[in-house]
This record gives sequence, structure tokens and C-alpha cells, in this order.
Amino acid sequence: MAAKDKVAGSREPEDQSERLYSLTLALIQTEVGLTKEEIFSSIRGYRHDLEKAGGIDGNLESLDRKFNRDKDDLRKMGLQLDSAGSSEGDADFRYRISRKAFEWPEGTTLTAKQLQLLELAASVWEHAALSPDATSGITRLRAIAPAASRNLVTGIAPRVTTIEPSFAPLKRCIDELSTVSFLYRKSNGDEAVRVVQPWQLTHTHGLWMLLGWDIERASARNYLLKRIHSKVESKGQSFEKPSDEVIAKAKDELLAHYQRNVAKIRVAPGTTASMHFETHNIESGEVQINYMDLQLLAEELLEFGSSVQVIEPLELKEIMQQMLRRVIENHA
Amino acid sequence: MPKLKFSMPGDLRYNTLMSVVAFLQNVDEISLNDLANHFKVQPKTMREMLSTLNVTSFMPRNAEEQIPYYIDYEDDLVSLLTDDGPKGVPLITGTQVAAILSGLSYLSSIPEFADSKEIDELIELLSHSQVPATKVEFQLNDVDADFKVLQKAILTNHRVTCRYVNSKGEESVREIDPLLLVSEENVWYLRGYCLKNLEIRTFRLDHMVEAQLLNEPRGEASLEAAKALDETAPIYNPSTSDVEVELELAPEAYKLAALSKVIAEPKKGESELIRAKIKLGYLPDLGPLVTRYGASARVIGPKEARDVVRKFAEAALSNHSQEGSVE
Repeated sequence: MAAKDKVAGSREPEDQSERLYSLTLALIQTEVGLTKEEIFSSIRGYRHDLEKAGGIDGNLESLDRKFNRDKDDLRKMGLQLDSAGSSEGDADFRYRISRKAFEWPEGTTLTAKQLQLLELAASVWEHAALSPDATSGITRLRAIAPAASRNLVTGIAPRVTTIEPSFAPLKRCIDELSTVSFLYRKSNGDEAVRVVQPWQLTHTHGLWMLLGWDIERASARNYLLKRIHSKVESKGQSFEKPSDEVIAKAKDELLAHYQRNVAKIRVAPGTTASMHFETHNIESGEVQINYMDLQLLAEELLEFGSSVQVIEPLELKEIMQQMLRRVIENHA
Repeated sequence: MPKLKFSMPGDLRYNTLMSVVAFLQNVDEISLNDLANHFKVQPKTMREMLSTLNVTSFMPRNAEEQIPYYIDYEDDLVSLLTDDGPKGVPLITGTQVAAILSGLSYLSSIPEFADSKEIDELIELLSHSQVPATKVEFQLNDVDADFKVLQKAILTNHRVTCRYVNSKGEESVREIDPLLLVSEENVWYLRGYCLKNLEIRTFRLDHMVEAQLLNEPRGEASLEAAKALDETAPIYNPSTSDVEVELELAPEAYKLAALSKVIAEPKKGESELIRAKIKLGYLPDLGPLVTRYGASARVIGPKEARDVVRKFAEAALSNHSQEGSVE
């Protein structure tokens, strides 16, 4: 080892990632496992704290907390600490990481083109909530792919955003199979607390939706994340993961609902609306469109102002008139 | 993970450290630049990480030095000299798999990848590597009919012509050298060199019709302009002449905050209203932007911005109140 690296090696690590890396190396190298004392006295990032605490017989409370946090972080990154020996807390309890955590299914390799496609898939989340997981996952996949030039030209840069504050807690509770509650505002403005077993997040027509089991109504329901008007609370009650068939059935029902709902509008020629609804070659300017709920359709149509007129249903027209009056009042 | 002084988040840095060693176990030698490119970091960052890897492997225990491996990166050539470290990289986790599978699900909703065997193979491969957490699904994405024409033009370096209506409602026939298709949610945009304006412009695909491939390659000027194209740049680039508008938004209209700077968030126990500032180059664009959210979005100021929204809504209401519009 170079002398300068040796000197640097005696310093404390600059951040948690280095300490975690040292901890991983130590726990993967050991056959019999390391006691907490051995970990604290040998791994950069703990040694200094141990000295400050006055050695292994000193007050190790904060060092224990640090170690527990590190164990949690390693677990989240897929590295479960195995135990060897007596129960955790005993002085002779030994920790190690099983090499199984490093054993990929035989023959798992990627071509440069596959890696590039996966990078493109991960880039969808570049500005959104799942970016850390996607980026870390891709980094690991780069280890099993060649460094050949990624020359696949797709000409596309897909992105989604997750501005809704409920996205991250809902995703977490879906992964943990934990029941949630939140205040939900229906399209007519009524608010009610919903208790839901969250199943899946879907992105439909640019809208984030939660599919889940509404406990009070005893049925599968879809919730728009933008209509969640409170923090999402985990109820601490776990539930059984629904089968793929159950989820597929619920999604089919939503699709059938969307296809059943049809509105008819008239679009003025030569406008952005005529391009959007592709009525530029239709003399009457009339077109039928499907919708999930009238409020959402009203929002979509209002963007085109006076370029569109509702033909049917009448209720849609009334909703739009009501919304426009509120906008005028709010900006008087 | 705590905030770090390094340019990448802690968990990503940890994963990169692990992955670089695993990668080097499979290659004899690689240039520092190629290694940095492979892991999408700057060469300077890679050099710093290689140094970190060397010092981190130095682990005195019981008065003895453990040196599992040593990475030589002198002369910008990188190789693993001694290798007694972990073999390979940790398995990808269930949440990592789910995030990437969700991205693949998004790609599958785009015409080019709709029936792609390559995507199917990757989904299979990832699902076998680890039991994925529940992935996010993308469905019912409307992709404009012109998408395929524009993508073909990009891949074959051709020019296109199309009819386009800008946000001022002005329709024109454009000639464009398409460079990149960018999506934001389910709206697709084309970044291309506009032969009318002689610069790179952004076009909404749903404001475009009848895109046709011309039998003409992209011009020199657009090739030159394309070099400066930033694929990660936001759709709208604010300019110093923009008007700043302050908005109050209920959750139904938070999407507007994605375009803006949030200046006040709700405190615990308060309503979920937020205040945000948005920049606009053409104030009348504010009308449709705000009106679609009904009572969920309100312009606080300036006054001319409030007037724009009110007038837009008044014109729309007048149209929707006309007799005979309902059959």
C-alpha cells in the first residue's frame, strides 16, 4: 500500500458510506464472525468513538446507536447481518454477513445494450421519488456489465415527477404491507378519512393513483394522490399481499369504467385544442372522449378555455361552469 | 443517511464503492476515464473513490494490518493488484428491482418498446435476481400519433415538416430537425432545431399534427446546436425577462409547484395550502395553467396575472353558457 494511503487509512472515514463499506468488508471476510468489541476496536468510524468513550468498558450508548443505525442501513441495502453464537447483546455474540448476499443467479450478466436500456428505465425516476433506489440498483448492475460504449440511440428522455407528498409514504407502506389512513377529498368536495390496505401505485393519464382495499367499504378502490389532503399515517397493522389476479381484476374494472364513460365535445378549428383532440380534419369539430370522472375531465377541458364546448353530458357542463365561476370569484 | 460533503448521496456512494471493486475483479485493466464513464461519475470523483477504497481496505486489527486488496490507479490506468476482498457485488435489493422494473413498465408504454423482447428479457432477468417489491405501474399513456415519425427522424438524422399551433394560438407549418423526445408525465415534447427561428425550440406533441419525414438530412446548424443540448434540462428554461407570479395551491393543484419554487409549506395542523412562485415568459399562458384547477389554484399577484386568469375564465364561461351548445 502506498505510504500516503496508509497514513490516510489511520484517519477516521469522511462519511457514513466509508464506515459502512469498512463494516461490510470486515463482516464478509470473517468466517467465525466478529464480536461488537472487535468491530468497535478495528473498524474505521467506530475506533475513534470507542477511544472517546474510554474503551470497551466506557459508556457505549451513542456508539451502540450508531452501530444499530448502520445495521439498519445495511439491511435496507440488502445486507442482513447474520448472527453466530448466543443472543444479541451478549459480549460473545458475533456478527457476519453471509456470502449468499453476493451470490447472483448463475449466468447473470448484462450486455452493454441491456445496461443502457436499464439506465434509460432508471432515468424515468431522475427527478422523482424512486430515484435513489433506481440509481443504486443500476450502480450494482454496472458491476456485472462490460464497459463498452453505450451507443444505443433511442432519441427519448422519459421522465415522471412525484410532487404529491403522499407518494413516498404510500410506496413505503405498500412495500411493508402496512395499512394506512388519510383524509380524502372526493370530487364533489366532501372529505372523509379513509383506512386502506395499499396495494399498488399506478400512473394513469399523468395522474398518480393508489389502488387498495378500503376497509370500511370492504371493496377495492382507486384514490387520486392529488386528492389526499393530509399526511399519510401508517396504522401499524399489516395485511396479506393480494395476488396478482386480484390486482389485475381491480385494474380491469377501472379500465372498463374509463371505457364506459363517454363525453361529447365540440372543438374550435385552428386551436391547440383541435390539435390535442385531433379534430383538425373533422368539419363539425365534434369528438367523443373517455373519462375516469367528470371532475378530472372538466379540469382537462378547462385548460382549453373557450376553444371547447361540452355537448354531453349536461352534468359536465355544469361542473365546468361552477369551476369557472369560482376562478372568476377568486381572481376578482 | 446524513448529509454528506460528497457530491453523491451516501447510499449511492456506498453502492458505487462496492460495485467498482466488483467490476475491477472482472477486468485486467481499464483507463480511469473509461471507468468513470461506466459509473457515470467525473474522473476526479472516481480518483477520489479509488483512493477511498484503498484506505478503507486498510484495517488494522489485533495489531495486524489487513489489506484485502489494493487498487493501482497510477498513470490513469486502473487495475486490481491484490484481490482478497468480497467476490462480486451485493445482490440488487427488492426495492431497487421494483424501481427499475417500474421504469421498464414506463418504457413499455412507449410505442418503440411496446412489444420489445429486450424489455421482456430484462424484466425476466431482474425478477429472477431478486423478489421485487411491488412495482409502480404505468398504463393508459396517450402517445401522440406523430411520435413514431419524430423518433424515426431522430434515429435517421432526418428533417420533418408539421403543422403546429403555439401557445398564442398561431398556426404555422414548421420545418424542424428533431433532436430529442422528452416526456413530462404523459405529455411529450420535442426538442428540435426550428428552421423558422434558427435555434433549438421545444414543441408540445399534442399541439402538433401531420408530422412527415422529409427526404432531407439534418442541417449543419442543427448538428452544431445539438452538441449543446442538455438532455436533463427542464422543459421550460426561465429567462430574466420572465414575470414572477405567486400562487396559492391546494393539493389538487400541487402539480403547478413542480414548475416553480415553493416558498411556504403548510405547518402541522394547518390546511394543506402551499405558496409557490412560478416564472412565465408569456403571461397569457397563465390562464389555462391556473383555470384548469378551478378553486384549487389562486393567483396572489401581481394584479395583471390575476386579470389574465379572470379574463380567460370569463371568456370560457361565456362560451359554456351559450344557448344551443348542448344538444
